[in-house]
Amino acid sequence: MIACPHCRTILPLQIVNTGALHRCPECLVKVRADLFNAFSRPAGQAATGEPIQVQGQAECFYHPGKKAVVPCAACGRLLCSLCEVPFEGHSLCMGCLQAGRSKRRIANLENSRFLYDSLALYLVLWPMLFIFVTPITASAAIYVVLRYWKAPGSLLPRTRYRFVLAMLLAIAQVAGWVIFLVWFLSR
Amino acid sequence: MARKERKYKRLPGRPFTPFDVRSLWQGPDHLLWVESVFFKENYKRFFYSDIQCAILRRTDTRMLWSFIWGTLALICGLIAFLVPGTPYVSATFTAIFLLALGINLAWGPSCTVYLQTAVQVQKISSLKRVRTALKTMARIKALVEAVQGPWERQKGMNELSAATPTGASQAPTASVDRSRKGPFEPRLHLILFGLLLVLGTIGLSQLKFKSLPVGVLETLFYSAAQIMVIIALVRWHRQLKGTLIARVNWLALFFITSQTIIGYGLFIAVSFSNPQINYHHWAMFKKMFELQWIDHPLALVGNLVHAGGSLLLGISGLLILQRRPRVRNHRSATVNPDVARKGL
Repeated sequence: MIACPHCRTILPLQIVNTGALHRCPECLVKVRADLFNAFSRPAGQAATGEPIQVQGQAECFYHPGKKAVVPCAACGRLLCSLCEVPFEGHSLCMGCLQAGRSKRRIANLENSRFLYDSLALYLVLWPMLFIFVTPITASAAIYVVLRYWKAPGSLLPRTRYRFVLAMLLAIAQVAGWVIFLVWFLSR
Repeated sequence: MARKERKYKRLPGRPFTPFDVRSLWQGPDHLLWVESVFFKENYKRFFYSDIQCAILRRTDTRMLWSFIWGTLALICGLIAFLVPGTPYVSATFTAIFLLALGINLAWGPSCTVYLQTAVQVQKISSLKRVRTALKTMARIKALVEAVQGPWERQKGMNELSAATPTGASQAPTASVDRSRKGPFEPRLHLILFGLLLVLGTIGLSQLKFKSLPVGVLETLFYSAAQIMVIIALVRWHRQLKGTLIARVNWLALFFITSQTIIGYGLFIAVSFSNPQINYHHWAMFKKMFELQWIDHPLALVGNLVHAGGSLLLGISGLLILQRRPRVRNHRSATVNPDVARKGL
């Protein structure tokens, strides 16, 4: 059943998938619900892995005694139907799946990324409010740009203009300080 | 195993919130929900084959912001007319607030959108207006139905009707709160908003007459409003949670509290400047009254804000109470008459 997200009342079936806004019978707030076939799809039985029937049959790497049905697409280990994880059209074992996630080899498993280009830009822009810390932060920004230029950025479409802008501003800040120091010392 | 990074297309929506940027992106086989906070991005994926439902719910946020911008524009407009020496500054602020009000109205009705899968219900906070949300929902529907197939109405209705248990939601969220204490009665709120209306009217009349007895009456009404706002908030907290009347109630509490703090500031100022009358309450009251009505632009602005704010809160509250739809006309078989919340 579909519930109103405001008052959690079950919505009448007649107002589901009509494409129009209807009032919730409890809180009278207008809602529209678009239902899809996944809602009524049965959960399905989990596979348990068949035991080996014939002597010499390939057995699962993680469950000796269970019949291997597929090799892992990453490491080649034989897997039973219980161990097999279908992912993006391939069969993987849990070890490779976790390694793919922790070592960032599988993009679809990544749930966060650090944006070094934004960090570099923040390091040059925000300290300009306080001026005197800019020699340190500009140097830090130059380091970040050079060190992380080739690091993977956002999953979303993104150019490197932040890196370029941060580098230019950082160089300008450092040059400004150098000129100021030369002038100050030569007074 | 090397993976090529996929290309994403941004779906319509306003991504900016005060502390982060949130957006929804269309991928080849999933939707990507992105939350960016400073230098970090967090992702959530909703595969088209897993999306069960998309729900849109209308909200009163647009009305609330219209009230806020309108009030600020009105106060600045009154200041521009009544306070000498401030026409340009006040007029500029009036124009800014009127522009904000116009933009808010032009954006259309406000809403929230939720995406439901078997394990979560995700609020898509980048979709705040109905027009944009409906466009995005249409695109999501097309993408999902391309993978899952179109929803066959008759077959789907039969399956839903046969699903058990009845009266329970399959959505994995908090259980329904059925411990509400009876239907909402507006008596307390009527008294509160009536008091605010009276306070606003007295405040406006005092701009012209500056009468001490009326000032005493105003103080008594003000004390009553302070008590009523807290009682109304606490008494109907559960029933009115998330409704517009609750928000106006909170606004009234904030307004009255800020006025109390200003009044206390006046009291401190009078105490320090007239230490000889510290133990004479009536003399202290008269001094505070005189201080409130001195011929100074700041005092005039303060009094205008007090009167105008009370009036607007009172009128808004009474209008909202008056326009709430009656449950009788919209009741369906699933409504429990003891827990009716009347679309406040």
